[in-house]
Amino acid sequence: MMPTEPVAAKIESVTLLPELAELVRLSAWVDDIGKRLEMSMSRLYAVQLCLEELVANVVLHGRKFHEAKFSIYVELSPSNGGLEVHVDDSGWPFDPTAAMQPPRAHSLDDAPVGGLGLVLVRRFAHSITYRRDGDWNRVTLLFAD
Amino acid sequence: MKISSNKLQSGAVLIGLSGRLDMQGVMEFDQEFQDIVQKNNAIIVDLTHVEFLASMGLRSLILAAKSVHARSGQIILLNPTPMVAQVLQASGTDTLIMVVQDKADAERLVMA
Repeated sequence: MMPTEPVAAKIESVTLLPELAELVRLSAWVDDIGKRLEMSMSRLYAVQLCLEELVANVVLHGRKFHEAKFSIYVELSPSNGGLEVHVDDSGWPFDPTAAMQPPRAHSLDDAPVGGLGLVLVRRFAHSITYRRDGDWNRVTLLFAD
Repeated sequence: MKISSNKLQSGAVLIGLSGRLDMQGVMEFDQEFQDIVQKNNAIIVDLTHVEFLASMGLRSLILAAKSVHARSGQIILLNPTPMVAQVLQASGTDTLIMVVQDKADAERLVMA
């Protein structure tokens, strides 16, 4: 019988264009890795959700005025039972950790329409860090049990 | 993303959504969804077959609820999966729009 080899903690990455259609490709890519790594349903959901929100934000707001093209780089790297997720983009500088949290609405009348994406990222990722590195925004999310 | 609607005996309308309520999904169903919402005052949105809910989906649900509320109507979310329920809770949406698990309860409450 062949000895069972431990599953190597492989780093997976994908480069996306700043277009909304890329969100579909991103979601299929994450789904595929999630299944291969046997991620729990709740972990896979949390990763899908945070990536959808962060990348949608970059696609919608990241474009610089005079620069039509920029790219988004997503990397998943398993570590000690957890998962580190990097979202890097060369768009307009934006620090999601410094963005204002909308106040919690108490009624439908004063509820804002939208603006909940980063609220969800803060709740579904265990930590979120940001640094500006030359022309790049670098966001790191950590998922742990 | 699929959307269906049918009128219940009580007069309430049951809107069934299925698939992913993310950016792509919302672009596919939102127009039809808001059209049905505009025409009805007692609405149950069945989330049983919604496998994924992101902020664009929340935006769509809140927009619908605001519109129904402005006409003194009622909108109720029915039977979200545990992960979808967690998104509703984490975003505070469950304090703005009633969420129930049972269809008979939803029908009774939406007609109240």
